[in-house]
Amino acid sequence: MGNENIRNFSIIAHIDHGKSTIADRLIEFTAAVDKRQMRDQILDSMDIERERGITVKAQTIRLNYKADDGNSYVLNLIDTPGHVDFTYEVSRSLAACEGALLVVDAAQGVEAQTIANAYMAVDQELDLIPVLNKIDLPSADPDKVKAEIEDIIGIDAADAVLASAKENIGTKEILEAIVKKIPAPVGDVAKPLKAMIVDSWYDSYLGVVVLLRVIDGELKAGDKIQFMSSKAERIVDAVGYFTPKPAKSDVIRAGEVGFMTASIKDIREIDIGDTVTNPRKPTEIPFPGFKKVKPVVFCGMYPVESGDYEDLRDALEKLSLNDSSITYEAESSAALGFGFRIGFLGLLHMEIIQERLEREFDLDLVSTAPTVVYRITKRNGEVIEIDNPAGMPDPTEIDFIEEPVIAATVILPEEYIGGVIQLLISRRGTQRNIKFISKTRAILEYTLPLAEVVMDFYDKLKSVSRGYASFDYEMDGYARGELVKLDILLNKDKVDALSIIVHKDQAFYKGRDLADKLKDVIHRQMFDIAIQAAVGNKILARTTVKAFRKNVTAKCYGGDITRKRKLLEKQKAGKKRMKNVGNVEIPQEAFLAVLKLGDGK
Amino acid sequence: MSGLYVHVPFCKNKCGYCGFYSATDAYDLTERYFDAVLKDLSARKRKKYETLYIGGGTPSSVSPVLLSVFLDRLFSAVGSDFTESTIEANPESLTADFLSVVKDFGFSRLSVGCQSTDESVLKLLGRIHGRNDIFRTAESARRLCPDTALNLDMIFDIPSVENSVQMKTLEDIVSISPEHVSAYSYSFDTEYLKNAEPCCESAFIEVKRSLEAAGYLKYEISNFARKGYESRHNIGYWMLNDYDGLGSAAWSLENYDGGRVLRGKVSDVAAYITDPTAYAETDRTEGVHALAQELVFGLRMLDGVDFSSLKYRYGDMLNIFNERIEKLVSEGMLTWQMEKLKITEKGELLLDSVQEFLWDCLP
Repeated sequence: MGNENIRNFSIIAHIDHGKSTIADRLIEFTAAVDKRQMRDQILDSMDIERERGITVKAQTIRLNYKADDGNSYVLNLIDTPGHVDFTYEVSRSLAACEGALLVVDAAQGVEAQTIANAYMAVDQELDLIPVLNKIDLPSADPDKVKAEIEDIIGIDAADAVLASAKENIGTKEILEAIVKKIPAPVGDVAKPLKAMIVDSWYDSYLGVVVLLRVIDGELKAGDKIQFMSSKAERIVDAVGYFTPKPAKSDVIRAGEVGFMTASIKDIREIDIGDTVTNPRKPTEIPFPGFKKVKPVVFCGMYPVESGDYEDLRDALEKLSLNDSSITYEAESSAALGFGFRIGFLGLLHMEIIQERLEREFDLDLVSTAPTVVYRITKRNGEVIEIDNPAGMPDPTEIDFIEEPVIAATVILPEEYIGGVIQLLISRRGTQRNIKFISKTRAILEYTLPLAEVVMDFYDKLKSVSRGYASFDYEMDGYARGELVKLDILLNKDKVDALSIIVHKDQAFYKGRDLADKLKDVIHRQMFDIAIQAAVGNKILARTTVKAFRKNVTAKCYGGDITRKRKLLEKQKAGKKRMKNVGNVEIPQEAFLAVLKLGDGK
Repeated sequence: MSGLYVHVPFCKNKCGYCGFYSATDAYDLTERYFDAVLKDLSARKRKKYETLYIGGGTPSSVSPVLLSVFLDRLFSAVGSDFTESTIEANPESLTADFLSVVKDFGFSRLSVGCQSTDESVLKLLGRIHGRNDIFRTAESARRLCPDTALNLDMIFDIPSVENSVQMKTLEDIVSISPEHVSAYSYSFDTEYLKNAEPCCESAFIEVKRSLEAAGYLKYEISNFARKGYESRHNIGYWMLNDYDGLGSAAWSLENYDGGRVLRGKVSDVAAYITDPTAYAETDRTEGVHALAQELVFGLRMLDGVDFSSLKYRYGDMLNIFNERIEKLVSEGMLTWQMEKLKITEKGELLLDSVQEFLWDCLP
């Protein structure tokens, strides 16, 4: 079969616009998956993905489709994650395609991630097929949404496919559009092997699996290959396609997407975006490769039982086999003992990793508030980066501090503009642009410190806009900030894990607010607990959790002994997520109280 | 030391605050119930007990004839030479007939559930006796059973009740001059009054002071007695001595080398009658947990926990508590008196927290 019958495509969309359900319909229609095995969001293989309705890892599937023109086509669907934290995965997936379906909710219209993803696809010179999903909704307004696509993204939406994945409307039309509008891959089987690494992951049966887009040449089991960036050479064990289960085949050729295994033990040997070639006949023009993604959000994770430290290390090691974007480093806290400082691509990524650690590895963890990487220039000229507030040098040693900033895009109905702008200003945002994309909707472009977004920003934005604002961002370098470290003292002992870095002007009210929040979450104990917030030696706020006045069970007779023992056991279990600092029991909520600053009560 | 407890799970009315098991509509089962209790007894290994406690429920509310027949059979099975024998009663059913049973069977203690001497508080608690019933029955108990020591129960810190009302109850109880007083701070064994506002500061210390001033010695968190009148049977519970509990919802405790096991009967009169020898629940505790249990329950007694005895039986296991005990001592919750670890007055008020704090260092 020649390349002319192959189509490589992705689906891009704003979250909840129906990307995964459209993929499900395409799979059903082409019967790649047996009806019996069909379940919702088939490409989302992790429990968390299915529960949260989001795609985290890129997935791929090969569909066989007999088109109206009488020819049979192989359609390779390379699914992409739909969340801003995983933008880098989207760009990798897109690099393996010639075209993409741009799925837009026909009722909601273009949203922030629609734009971000569409621009990424346009940058990579992909052909876009607009698909208006949820056309069955009474509030669907296809003409308005078509106009938005044309105005904002600048592509022709006249032939947009009208679809409803839920009602199975438009599925065939989408498949026909893929065949007709997305170009066949160019590439020459006769040329030396040139294949791009789209993704890789660890499979407990197969070892490291490498997902490849073959540009030129072909790849067979037994071939000797070379990774061009590391120069490492391997012998290919097997090649194949995803259907969506891995199915071995004899060969994968130019234009195709498939997998390879080559006795690779460690995923870190693989650079995503690297070029695979034949060491004896290397390709002349390798791929430029991708920028290595760097974690931007960090938090400390500590086992509740200090004996679980090694288990946490093992779990992190296993997780990083499949997710090379997380970083971890041992750290210790006076309050929390031994744990790890873990780096993530964003807040959602952090939540997912924490959930997986607890669920798949059965660990009880205490996490500290998320933080960003601050760059500190000392008076002696030394520049250091800190990802933990505890690592902040003494203020007298600091010349200036810089923090990461982001370029944020918010799309929202006009009635919420006032509230959202107020929120952005309170988060130290500065406006770059504001424009209307229709009579009733606007785009705000703001520069914001990243630190202000990792702290409870999404929830706030959602409540201010009643869920109608969509948000996307990209990193936009560093900017100087007047920042100070805010410490919390419990009974005069500084609790390092509760320190946060805040803007100087916010220190007072955040200190007071944090002390109050802690008072709410730290429950009464046997002893009075004095809570203080301080910057340096200056106490900004103080409050006290009063001890119980009376806590005594009056009666204890024959049958009460077992009851009491069970109660004691239950209370002990309830404290699993508590950490003892001095004689104060601090619940997990305390470490996250900082996220809820400014909520009022 | 070993005790025998018999649960009489019948009440004329269920009081809202009470967490003990009893039935209000099962009096017609009384006879069969007592038969079942004796069958339950015959399956026990032990044939001799030092103390006896007939509790409830309301033992005084069942037919005195049936009660008397039952006691007769019970005593012929386990003898009658107890160092202490107690029976519980409520004022409304503390009749001359009942008192003659108390006298005939030589009960050394009669425990009367007064709870309050205020009519409106009695109503609030769901009691079916009045203030005067308390004085009247106490007087007849003294007259008809002069050799039987009297215990009166009262409750304080009742949500929504003024402190002065509760202190009046205490005064009334002292005026009756019982040998023993159980003064319980209201606890939420049921949901009853859970959402009512506490009206004032706890009277815990005030109650203690008043009873001590009246010549009572506090020997347990809620129990006061004139010297020599402490309840030996109940002390057995707090020291986790062996006891056999007969009847529905009754628990038994058996110590063995290295641990102890508690076994409980079903909380259902009819089900108990069907199979009186079966246990509904078993709770086994061993090693350091058995030790912790002894420490935690022993602290209820103001005389403290004897560490020389614990050390002898548990050895180095005891060290696990060192750090926390030291902490509690430095905070003034516990104190050492020779080899005995005792709760302080400050600690008494926070006994549950102290127990939790110690329990939490278990593996």
